[in-house]
Amino acid sequence: MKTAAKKQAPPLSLDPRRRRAKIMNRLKNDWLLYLLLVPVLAWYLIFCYAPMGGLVLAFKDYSFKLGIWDSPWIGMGNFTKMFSDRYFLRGLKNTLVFGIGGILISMPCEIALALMLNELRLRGMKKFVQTTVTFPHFISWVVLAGILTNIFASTGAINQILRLFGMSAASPITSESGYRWFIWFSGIWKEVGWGSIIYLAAITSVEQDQYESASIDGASRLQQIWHITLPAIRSTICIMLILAVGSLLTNGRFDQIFNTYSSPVYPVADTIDTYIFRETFTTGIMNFGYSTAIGVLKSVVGLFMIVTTNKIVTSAGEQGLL
Amino acid sequence: MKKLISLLLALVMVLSLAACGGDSKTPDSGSKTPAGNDSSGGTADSGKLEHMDISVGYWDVETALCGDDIQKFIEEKFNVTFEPMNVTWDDYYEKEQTWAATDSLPDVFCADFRASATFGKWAREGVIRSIPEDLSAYPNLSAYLDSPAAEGCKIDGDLYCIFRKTYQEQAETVKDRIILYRWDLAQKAGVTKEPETWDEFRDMIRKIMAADPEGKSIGGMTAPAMNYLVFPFCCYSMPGAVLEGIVFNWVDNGSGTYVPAYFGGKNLGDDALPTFQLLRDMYTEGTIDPDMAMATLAESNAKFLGGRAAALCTTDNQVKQHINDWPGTYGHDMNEDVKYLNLMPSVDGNTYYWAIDYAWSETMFSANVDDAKMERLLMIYDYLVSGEGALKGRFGNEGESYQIVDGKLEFIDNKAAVEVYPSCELFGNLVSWCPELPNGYVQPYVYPDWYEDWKTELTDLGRACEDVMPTFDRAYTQAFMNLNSDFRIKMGEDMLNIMVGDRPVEEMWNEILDNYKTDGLEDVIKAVNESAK
Repeated sequence: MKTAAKKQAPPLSLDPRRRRAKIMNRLKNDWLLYLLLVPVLAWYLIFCYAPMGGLVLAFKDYSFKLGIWDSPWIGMGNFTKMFSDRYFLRGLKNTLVFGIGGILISMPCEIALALMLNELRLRGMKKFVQTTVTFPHFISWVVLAGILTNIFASTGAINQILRLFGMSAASPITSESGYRWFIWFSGIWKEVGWGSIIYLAAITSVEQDQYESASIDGASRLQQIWHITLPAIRSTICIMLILAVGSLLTNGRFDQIFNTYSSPVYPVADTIDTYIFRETFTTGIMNFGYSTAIGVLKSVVGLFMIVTTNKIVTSAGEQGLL
Repeated sequence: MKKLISLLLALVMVLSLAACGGDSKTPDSGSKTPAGNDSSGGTADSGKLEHMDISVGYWDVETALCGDDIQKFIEEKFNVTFEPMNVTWDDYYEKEQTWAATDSLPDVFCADFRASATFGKWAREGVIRSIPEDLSAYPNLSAYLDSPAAEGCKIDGDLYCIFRKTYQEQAETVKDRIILYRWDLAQKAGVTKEPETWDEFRDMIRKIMAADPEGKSIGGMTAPAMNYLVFPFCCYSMPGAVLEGIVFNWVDNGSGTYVPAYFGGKNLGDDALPTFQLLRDMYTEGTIDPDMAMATLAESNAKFLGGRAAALCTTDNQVKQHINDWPGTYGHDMNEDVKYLNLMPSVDGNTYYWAIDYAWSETMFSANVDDAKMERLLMIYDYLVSGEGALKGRFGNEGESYQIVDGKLEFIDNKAAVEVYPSCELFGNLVSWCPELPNGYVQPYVYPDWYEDWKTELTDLGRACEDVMPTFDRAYTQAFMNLNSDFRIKMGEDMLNIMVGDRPVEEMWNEILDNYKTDGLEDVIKAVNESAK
């Protein structure tokens, strides 16, 4: 009876001495694995958790003289200022437009490319196409911006072709109506190959029997894609969507925009990040407390969006992230 | 075996992390110069002085402080050791602001912050220290600072930086922008007279573009950035508005109220309209490069040198670059093909030039510099701006890098001093780009005589405008700076937006004016007028 009771007790109810001994035993046995974990944990502690102390700046009026800790508290002052700052609001709007547009345009392209690559039967051809479309990912935006600027210049390749067909020259880089499309499409061109890798990996894990059965039942390739492949990778798509929505405000387009924009397109191009950078380093007007508050807001909104999207995805019956 | 590999892998990862985190010193802050740490030796002066380390933030200072004889001489004379904190032309703005935010500014550093909000903020928040009011112990420096340019170095009445004079006199600022144009192609296109008005200039460029004598699809005037065009075009209808940022000129709008010159006119901003219209017209017809919004220094230079731009608005330094590159491309000197554009008359019939601050940058001192170090720095500055110091710092040692022949200063073997003594790049320019030389010596040059003639002619053109040049009451500029306001003028941005825009000029300018009003223009005008009066 005594033994049975002992057996039924959950591990956590072990007395502390035994628990400690068990942990020590694990550490001793797998110390190499734990040692491998140290750099990762240290990285998170140093670069992700320790700087969080600086978040207090969001609630302070930062003074160079007084430093982070002694600068005066101003409560929610920086946040209030944010919503009366029309340049910030413009940046917020543009960030969301670039982010949402990016998700709506890029994700389908990445999925479509993965599906198409999966359909290629010639192995060599598949590798060649994948390498070709993935290659631009490894080129820096600084370099690409120079190339794209030249291509779209008044005497660049695109405008020469336009003139050849009797059309007038135009450049999306300096036009308010064309700039966002330029950013989205140049982003797709650069990242579609890289972005499709994860979907391609998900597709390769789909059981081949299903295709064989569908084929015997007379399903066309398109029907197989629609009824087998896409449902099979739905959970991957959902996870990618959650991650993408979570990073809407930090959508990583800083390099792309900063290297290609100019003041005529600020109304449609200036994002939160480019605005903060310009005001902090070029004009020197921005207070570090204010820029920290913007950073805090971005993180809070990002967390909210992740949780919300996760909720929507899980309530639709899919596997979530949290 | 597997265990051994895992152990090695884990050790490598841990050690690499330790290696990354262990060295907290940045490469800039850590390195000492190889020379000049001998506190016992040196001159009679150094014997009385306690040894000090002085960190210097200057463009490519790591290269300059290589331990040559000039550096050794100055270090021994003042018993100091200079520690370089390197910045480059590409990163100095961001790097120095990052240093300021982390309380690690060099003891002395150069930048061009005093027309931005950064300068006032740093002075008021104790990032930089003020310079003592009594400079009687430093007569050369005191004389150097006895200039109107010193007013722009003050915050709330105290001097917080030392301006670095680029030119000896105001009229020389005309050389800060030089418009070069292809006279050879203009002649081939049938132009016989050099342009004397903007209309004639436009006509000439149009003709060159239409004729395209070299078959390179030549375009209109280009520039490295829109800011380059601001000076010459401002002078078309608002010559006082050449300065932007926070240090700008104020003018009487006719009713006794002072407004920033950029917003001058019967109604706020009326004066600016003809300039904006001229820019729009030139951009629309192609006499200004259609790719101006994305222009870069390299691209604009390549266009002009490659015969793809009929004109180039650039700076003295860049002209020198073209003088060097031209023979390699065309087989002869640049002046055989190219001319500079005269000053163009404005809408009111007068001719103006861009009377900008003739010290574009300044030296600042970290607030961590104590009184003793400040005293030493002022001694060094006083020396470098003196006749002897200017010769030593700028030209090196007599007989080694320069010589006096018939009362004229000459480089030996036509080699610039920095080629013999790299530290002349620092000591020759630290205090001023053009210190006054003793005995009436003139800075020797290594460029062709014709270019020196061009520069003299340009200065004469500037001097000829002096009678009509607008004058300004600096009290209003100072009053605005003392407001510590976030308001600022973004002229280059506004000009570019209107120039490339597709809506009517006046409509766009009114919209921009409304934005300035939202940013507090009218409140600023009211506050400045009340304060200055």
